[in-house]
Amino acid sequence: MALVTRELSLQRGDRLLVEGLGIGVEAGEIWTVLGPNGSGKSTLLLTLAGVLRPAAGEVILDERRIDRWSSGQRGERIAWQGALPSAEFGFTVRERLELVPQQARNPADALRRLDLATLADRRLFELSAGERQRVELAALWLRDAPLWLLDEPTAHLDLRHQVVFLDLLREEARAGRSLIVVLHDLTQAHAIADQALILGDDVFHRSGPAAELLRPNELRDVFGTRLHVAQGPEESALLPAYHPPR
Amino acid sequence: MRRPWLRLSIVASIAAASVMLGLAMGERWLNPFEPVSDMDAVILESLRWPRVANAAAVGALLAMAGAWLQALVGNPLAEPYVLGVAGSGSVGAILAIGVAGGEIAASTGAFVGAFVGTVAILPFVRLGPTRLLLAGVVLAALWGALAALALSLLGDSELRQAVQWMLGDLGASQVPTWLLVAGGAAALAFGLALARSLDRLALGETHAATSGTPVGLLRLALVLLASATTGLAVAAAGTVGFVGLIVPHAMRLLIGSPHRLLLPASALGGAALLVLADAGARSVVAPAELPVGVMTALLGVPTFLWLLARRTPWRS
Repeated sequence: MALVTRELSLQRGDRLLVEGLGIGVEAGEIWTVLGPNGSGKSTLLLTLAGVLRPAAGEVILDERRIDRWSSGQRGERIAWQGALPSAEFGFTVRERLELVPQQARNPADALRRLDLATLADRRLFELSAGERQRVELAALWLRDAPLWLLDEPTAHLDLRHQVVFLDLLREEARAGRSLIVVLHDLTQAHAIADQALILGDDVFHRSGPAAELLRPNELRDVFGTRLHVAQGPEESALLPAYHPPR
Repeated sequence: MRRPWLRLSIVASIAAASVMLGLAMGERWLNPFEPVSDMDAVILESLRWPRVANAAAVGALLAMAGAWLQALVGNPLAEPYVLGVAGSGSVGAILAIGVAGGEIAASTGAFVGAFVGTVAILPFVRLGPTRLLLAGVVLAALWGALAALALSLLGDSELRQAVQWMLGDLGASQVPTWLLVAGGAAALAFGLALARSLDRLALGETHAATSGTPVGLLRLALVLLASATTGLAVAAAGTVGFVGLIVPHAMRLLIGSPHRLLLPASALGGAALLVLADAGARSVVAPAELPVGVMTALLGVPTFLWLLARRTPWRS
């Protein structure tokens, strides 16, 4: 087992976000973390990465508590993608990718896979948010860590790049990498996740197989909105009901 | 950025040319390669060379301190003078002159003062650039007030020593030239060793931490490095502002952002800027002299305001 949490509690300021969380992430599994704004998804990822300390409980990575690994050892085992990095200092896309530690792959391939080849020598602040997001996904893709933590990887992306990147995540999981992915799009979560962790208000949490949890009845109260399933010819989508009930 | 090493060697050539110009310029113009008289040779050896070497070393120290503080606080507007670190260094030096007197006391005081000033600004780093700069302004005012208080308590001879020191006289520096040059070289070596971690820190604290960088240790190292370099520079030249702002900014545009290039480029650019500013300071109203800090402020304040007026601080 790659990553385990025991009785994990998370706090942000005075507010308790999560209490008594216990999950186990296996090699090659894709977990999705779902929940409304402020329910603790990003805090959870940073705690799993060993950047934030939990309020109580522990995170165990490869049979050792996360804070017992040195920062360098954590960097070898866990890769994180989240909020866009500062562009203030004027790094170019190529220079940004040079800063990725533990590179298992060729930066030129990363640029190609995320359609960044023509942007390689542009400074980050010259790019759109979607392009910068793709740079971060390329940076993640370069990393050899067995566990990837992704905080809204499809944010800012156009439709095609959303599809392409989710496909790439499935490919990584098949190769044995463990992924924990925060998503807001339930259809995307449904498309890639084996397991789901749902965080709600007032320290509510629930985890289990994605196929069981990603259903309208399970999620309605958590998100406070009506949901319905749209059945297409190849796959089904979990959609919010945008129109008020008649 | 294309061909950064070529660009770096151009900056090095500019620095070398500035040194030659600094040696030649002054109340009396002379040829630094071939002094025409014994008098010129003496001026060159005992006055111009030490002064130019001091200016170059202090400029390099201040420019590197600027680059480190910028990475430390994640904001390209940071600079020892703007954040009050140079001001707290002055307070330390004045107190040390008052208590013990002498060169070593002033230098030690400046270093300790700069350290205190750096630590004082750190809690504001997390509150965003606006509050950080406001805190810097207010702290700089506090250090200014404390410096005035300390000066008012000094006796006559210490007062003269302290005032002369505050105006920043590169000709009669309190710190030996060899110490400045050695300090600059050591600081550059340390900075280059940390270059990759500095790059990662510039992306943001979380990005650095999740890339295997021990952020806490790195910050401590940067606080010490920035304090030591600022303290040394302040001890040698008084408060010389804005070199740490103008130079790294210009070098990011010319050479690029990775610190393995930015730090040597800033050291060379800082040396060139201060040598030229000092040459100007002792030439424009010769035989009198302007304090070199006046020259750098006249260049630096417009640059700073211009940077503030832009949303992305140094977009070209």
